[in-house]
Amino acid sequence: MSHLAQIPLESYLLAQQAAPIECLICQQENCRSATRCRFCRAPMALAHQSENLKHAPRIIAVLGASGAGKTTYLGMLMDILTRQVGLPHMTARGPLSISLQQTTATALSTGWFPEKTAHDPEHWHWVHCQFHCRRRRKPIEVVFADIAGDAFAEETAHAGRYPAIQALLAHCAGVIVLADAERLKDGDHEHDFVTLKLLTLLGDLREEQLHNRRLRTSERRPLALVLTKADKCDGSIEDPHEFAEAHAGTLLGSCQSRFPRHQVFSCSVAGATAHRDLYGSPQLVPLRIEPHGIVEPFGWLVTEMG
Amino acid sequence: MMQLRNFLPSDLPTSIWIQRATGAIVCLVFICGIWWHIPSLLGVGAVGLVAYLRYGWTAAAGVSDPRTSSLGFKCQPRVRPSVDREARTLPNSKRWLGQEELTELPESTETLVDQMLEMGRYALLLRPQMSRHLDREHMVRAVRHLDDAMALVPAGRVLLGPLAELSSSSSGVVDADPKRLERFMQRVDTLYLDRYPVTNFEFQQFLDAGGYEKLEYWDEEALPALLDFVDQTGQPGPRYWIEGQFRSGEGRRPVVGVSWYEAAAYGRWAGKRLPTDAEWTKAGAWPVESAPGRIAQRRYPWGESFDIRRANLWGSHRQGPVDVDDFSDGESVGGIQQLVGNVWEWSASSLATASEPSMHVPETFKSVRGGAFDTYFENQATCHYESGEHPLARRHNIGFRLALPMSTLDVADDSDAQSNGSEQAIVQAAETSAVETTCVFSR
Repeated sequence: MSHLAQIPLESYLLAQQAAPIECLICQQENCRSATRCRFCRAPMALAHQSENLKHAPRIIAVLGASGAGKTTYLGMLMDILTRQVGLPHMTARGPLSISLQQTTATALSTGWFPEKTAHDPEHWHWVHCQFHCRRRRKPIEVVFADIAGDAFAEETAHAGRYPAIQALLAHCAGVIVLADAERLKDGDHEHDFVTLKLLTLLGDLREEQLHNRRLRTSERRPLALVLTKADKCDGSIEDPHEFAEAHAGTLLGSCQSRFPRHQVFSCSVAGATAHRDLYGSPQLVPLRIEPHGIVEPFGWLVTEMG
Repeated sequence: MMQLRNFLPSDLPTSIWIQRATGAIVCLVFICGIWWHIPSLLGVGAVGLVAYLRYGWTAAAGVSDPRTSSLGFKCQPRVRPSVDREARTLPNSKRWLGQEELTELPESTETLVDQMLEMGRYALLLRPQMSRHLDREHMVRAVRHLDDAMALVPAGRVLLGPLAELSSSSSGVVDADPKRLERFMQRVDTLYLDRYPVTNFEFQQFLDAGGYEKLEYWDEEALPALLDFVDQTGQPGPRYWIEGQFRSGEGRRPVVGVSWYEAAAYGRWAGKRLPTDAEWTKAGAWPVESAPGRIAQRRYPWGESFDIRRANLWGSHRQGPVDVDDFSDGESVGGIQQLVGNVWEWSASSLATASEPSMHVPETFKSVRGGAFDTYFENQATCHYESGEHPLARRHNIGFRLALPMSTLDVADDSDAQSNGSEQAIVQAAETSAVETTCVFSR
């Protein structure tokens, strides 16, 4: 004996499958209700926010080895640009984009550096913002991510482990490379190799893309090489290019040969540092926050991206 | 030789005449070599001439190189193409306490006192060693200068360290266990503190008076580094100056790019010293102890809440130091300006002793106070916040102001007991006084 039952047709579920949404980073199709991309784990909020935009946001790849200062630089950049009264100015899109600024500003104001970014892609900070500058009447939509330096190193050793990194490198419109000036001055070039590998990967992915589209164009993407922690190396503040020539010849050479449109900058966030015990282990802490040269590389890059 | 000297003009020493004669002989040999085509004479003459031109000319001309100081600095002539006009108005005699001080004595005590007051060295006049040589009128003038330039900070106790910030939050009163409170309390004696940070113009006078060349003003450990204390052009002076001069229009701005040792040396020259952390905090936070163990201190010199119109911090968007009398709304209760903002100020204290036990700060680090034009967070520019820097660092945002303990002054001295000393005696007293400051400071 059969029974008739009424089962509601959940048409919205079907609609979700019928009209998927592309991830902004890896451009893979995802279910509309997904919070993270099932391929690269990037937040789908980025895709939702840019869905109705006339032009897709420009992606900026921020590269650097572990400890180069990516989180501090990007968090400070956001905080400065959002606090700024005149131009240039930045407006974050969506609550997700503010978390990097919040983490960094809170840590620095209480006398700590922000914690190291975790390997797990779900803990990476993604930022989608509008950048208003003097040269452009309309704001430019920009997306960038704070990715763990160790994840970059792992990706260069085992390609494909972090699809978001591959996708980011393939689709970026501009590159910021961060290098620790203090380490460079001390002759520690171990971390340079991670950055060099990333630059190689960046070039290879570009070539592959062009090959697939049967295009032959030269590299037009701008690259800003930023020497961080410049407060500890006087020379890097006065003439960053000369400092890079003297202490980071290989890195600079690689940038020059691969990216004709490049510029060297230096920046610092802390005026002085000391060590502080945290659960028995000494942690580097800032003694005061005096940001210098934070906005310039980003401003130059966005202007060059056109 | 004595007979020869009778034929020579008496105003030049014999050695110079010998050198001139040598020059003439060398020339003669060279000319003879050319005339008679004798290569050996020509060679000897040429070598002699080159040697004479290279080493002997300056001495033979009777001119010692004025650009070489006693420390070996090669100083350019004091031309001031791009320098503030106000620097030119200084009297020529201001070098009287420099290298030639005892040979170029001022004409009278009046002139001497004028010069010292003009140079901002009134503190030396008020010391017992000096004041006994001065009459009442001079003393009154010196005291007037002191009152104009410095503010009185009354004696009392001040709370430092981690509890200090609590004393300024919420209720503004710390009501802690007296024993615990006692650990962080420090007693400060009555002192005068500069109303403004030391300006470029004031520091110029120290430099012009040969301050970088007189070793008695400098700490012994700073002497090896003294030759590195140069400006953009390699002249002795603050790091961002040019040719031993501050940049045009910056006379009223606080001097920056000076190490802790340069600040301390200036202090000795002026007859003052750098304030300790406790003295600086006392002047800014103005503590009120209503009962034992119950103390209230201000977070900022003007009160509890931050106001961007009262201090030059990052949020003011000035992007550099401003004149020392700007932001006058931010003055302290005692009338001291810019304790917070504009430039960090060197303190006499070490950061290692002042900081929390969990902090590992290099022992050499000196404490800096008050925040600067590029200090990003307001909570790092309070009366209680302490940062640090290496004493040899010459940063773009660190300046200083000076303190003068009341105990070192002789303002209450009986004027009847004063003797009208000669200018020579006063100069010597000033010297002794400055050196004594050094000793006190070193202790």
